[in-house]
Amino acid sequence: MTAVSTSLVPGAPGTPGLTMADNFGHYDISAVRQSLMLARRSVISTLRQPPQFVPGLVFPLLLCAVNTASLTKVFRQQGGTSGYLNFVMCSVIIQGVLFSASSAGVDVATDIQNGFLDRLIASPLARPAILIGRIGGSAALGILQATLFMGILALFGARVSAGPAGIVVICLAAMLLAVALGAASSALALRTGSAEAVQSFTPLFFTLIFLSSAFYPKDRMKGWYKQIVIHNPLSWFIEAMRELVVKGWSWSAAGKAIGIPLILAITGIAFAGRMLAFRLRGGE
Amino acid sequence: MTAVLQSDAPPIHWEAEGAKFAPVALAIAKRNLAGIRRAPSVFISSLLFPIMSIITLAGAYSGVATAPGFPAKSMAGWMLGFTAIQASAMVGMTSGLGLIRDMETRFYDRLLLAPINRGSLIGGLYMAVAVRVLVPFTITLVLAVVTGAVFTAAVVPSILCLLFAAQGAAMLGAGYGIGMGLRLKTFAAAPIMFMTVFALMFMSPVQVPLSFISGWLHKVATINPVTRITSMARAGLTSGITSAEVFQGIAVIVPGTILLAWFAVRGMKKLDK
Amino acid sequence: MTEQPPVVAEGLIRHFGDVRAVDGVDLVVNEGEIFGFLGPNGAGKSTCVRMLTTLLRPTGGHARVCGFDVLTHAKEVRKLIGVALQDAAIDPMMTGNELLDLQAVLHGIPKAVAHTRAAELLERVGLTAAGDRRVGTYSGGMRRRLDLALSLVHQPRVLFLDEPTTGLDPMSRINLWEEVRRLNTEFGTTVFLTTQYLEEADQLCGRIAIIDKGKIVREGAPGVLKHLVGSPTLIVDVAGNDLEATKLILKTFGEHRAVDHGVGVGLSGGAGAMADVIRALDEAGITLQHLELNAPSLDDVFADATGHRLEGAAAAAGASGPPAKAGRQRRGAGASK
Repeated sequence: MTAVSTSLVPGAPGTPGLTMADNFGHYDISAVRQSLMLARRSVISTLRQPPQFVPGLVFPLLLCAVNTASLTKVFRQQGGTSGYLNFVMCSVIIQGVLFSASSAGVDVATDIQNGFLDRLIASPLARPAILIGRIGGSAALGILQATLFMGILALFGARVSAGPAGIVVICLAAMLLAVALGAASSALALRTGSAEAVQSFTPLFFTLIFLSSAFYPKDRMKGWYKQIVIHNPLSWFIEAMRELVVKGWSWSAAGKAIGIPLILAITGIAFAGRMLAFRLRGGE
Repeated sequence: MTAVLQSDAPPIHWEAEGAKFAPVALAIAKRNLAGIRRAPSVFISSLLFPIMSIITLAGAYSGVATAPGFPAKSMAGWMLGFTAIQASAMVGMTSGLGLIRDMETRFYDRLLLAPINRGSLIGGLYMAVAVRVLVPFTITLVLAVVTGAVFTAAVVPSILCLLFAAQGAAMLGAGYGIGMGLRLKTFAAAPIMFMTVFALMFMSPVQVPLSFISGWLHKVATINPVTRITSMARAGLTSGITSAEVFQGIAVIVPGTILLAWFAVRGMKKLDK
Repeated sequence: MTEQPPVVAEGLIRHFGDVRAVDGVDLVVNEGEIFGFLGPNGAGKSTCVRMLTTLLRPTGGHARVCGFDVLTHAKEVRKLIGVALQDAAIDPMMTGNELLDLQAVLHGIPKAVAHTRAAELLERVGLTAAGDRRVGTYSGGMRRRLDLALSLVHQPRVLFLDEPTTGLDPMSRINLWEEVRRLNTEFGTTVFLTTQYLEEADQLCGRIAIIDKGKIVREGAPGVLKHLVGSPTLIVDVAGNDLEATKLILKTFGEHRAVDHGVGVGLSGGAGAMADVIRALDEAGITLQHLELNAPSLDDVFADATGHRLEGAAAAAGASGPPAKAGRQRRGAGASK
């Protein structure tokens, strides 16, 4: 990001009233540190509200357990290799990320509703830090979710064929997707200022994964549904990640697994940036 | 005692009787149903849920239906049995959330202050649920048929099995939701209520029949009462309606409904504690 | 129907875990009076009302309303009381008329009777024009008036009003007081109200009970209670270093009284002793910054009984209303101080 290196308000020693600066020593606290602090706040606030992250952990794992028990037999009968658990591993991670996607936006909306954002705006804080903090929080939670899910599924016998490099790529992919969705939901929050509006989009994200090849091979599907699945970018993304798990390392799979969410993340951040500018103008 | 306001009014003759059960229950049901008209956003999301549910589940697992020995002709038909039950259970359970909202806004105090049989407050919610459930029921039925569900038995008995199972799931959901609502009294309980219903629903044969399932889930699904309800719902969509499917469904729904209604009534009795 | 007083409580107790919210309350409310329950937030007023109106089970003690035990004959009690609880518990999605209809059904009132009564009651509280509007669009004062109308649908013998004017603007408060007074004088309805406003208790109630920390500490007519405190309160403000000397001097004129600022004393010699106080202070070389003489008020009664002042008492007495809302906008806070 371009703004990362800009320092705070130009030093104006003796300016009365900027008492906040005293706590930071001087006016030279960098936007990087501000962003880190805000990211930390966003992670902590999520972890302090179990209803915000527990469903995102429990539900995908429950569905994974149920699906594996239900589908292992049929999956093998229909020519599936490498076991159903390996097949859905990345889908579980993505589902977890999708589930908690709106929490960044909900938090932004809450900040708007209770006036905390106004306080941030009124403070001599680098503007981009407001966004970077939030989105950084989402990124951290995305990595956390990916490692946690991979660890849990490993206990039940799931393996990443591509080895450590594959694991790193999967974590990065989850992180980038979390950034993309965190940015998108923050943009929505900045635009609407309403937590309910943001929350009402969660089912949409959630539906998207069911309209992909996340839970069953697409070559088994038929008709209009197959058309949707084939054209859903989420399918391309999940299939690339899955290749790393099931088949082994491939540069093209790794490239897709990183490239697709990267494009989404850049788009999301650009959109969120515009919405922040909109909010800074006073919502006009 | 002077009659208030109207000097020629009859001396408060309704005082002696208090309110009867049925009119109060009807008024409660009416208010509950009016919510559909007044809060359309909530209503629309309650429509969207079964729509998305049947489309995504039937689609995502459509490949499974081609497996040898799969009892339904299409995934849409197989999932109709599940989604209709799931949506109905949710409709039932959310009546408990409505009750929690009334408690949090203190509106419920007004109802509790009335000289009525408090069972009518519960009865009214059940009545509203019985009507409300018809909405997702119709939607899932139509969508499933449009996307390829085929009845294997005569249409009317098949739909009756489905409807009975759906109403049963709604009544069970209502008893659970109201009972939990009266005990927990706070919206913070909503995720717990959702998760338990979801978990119970998904620990039954969702995508494949019981015989396809292996391991722990097979054991759990075998004893999970939801399995019997979905079997009854699917009776006319799989290999013909059997008396076992019907009787096992009834054997779960009827006593279960009585038990959970008792749970709800007990919750009401504990309210002033 | 019964010769017993409308409300009787004997040793009423309610604990929430270790908290003794109501700790042995005895009281009698007589037919046709307006009885006020005065106390700060958290004193146990609402808990008491919830027990008397059958919403909450007492931990100990007994209560009878119109001769019926609130525990064993809850349904009879509910037939005879009207209740308007704190925060006017009304569904914002419903219209005034729909709520009145529902209330009538809840009390088993025949439809024909219910409609005429609903119209009369709306007229009475000045909401006829708003009857078909959703309650969500009502102002705070309108909600309270609708709540009052709702509690009157079944012609109750005892009306319970839990903090009926908390959060209302001064105009709306006065309107509501008038309505309550009218109900009481015209129809003889017994009214039991709780309040944290001294003025409300003073203006409206024939008899009050002061409750603090779950116990009744004073009971009687406001005038009598004030008279019992007797002496007026003299408040003296001096420079900080004269404070101790001032206290010593004032002690000779009467007992110490808790006040918001400065030193307070209950002048045992009445207002006439004021000149002596000033002389004594002057002789001691103490410069007065502020001097104030207050006739005994319910706040003095309260302070006399509990040793502390009623929360927000000064604001309520001064502005005859609750403290105005604090500034809303925080934007720019911290820029300078």
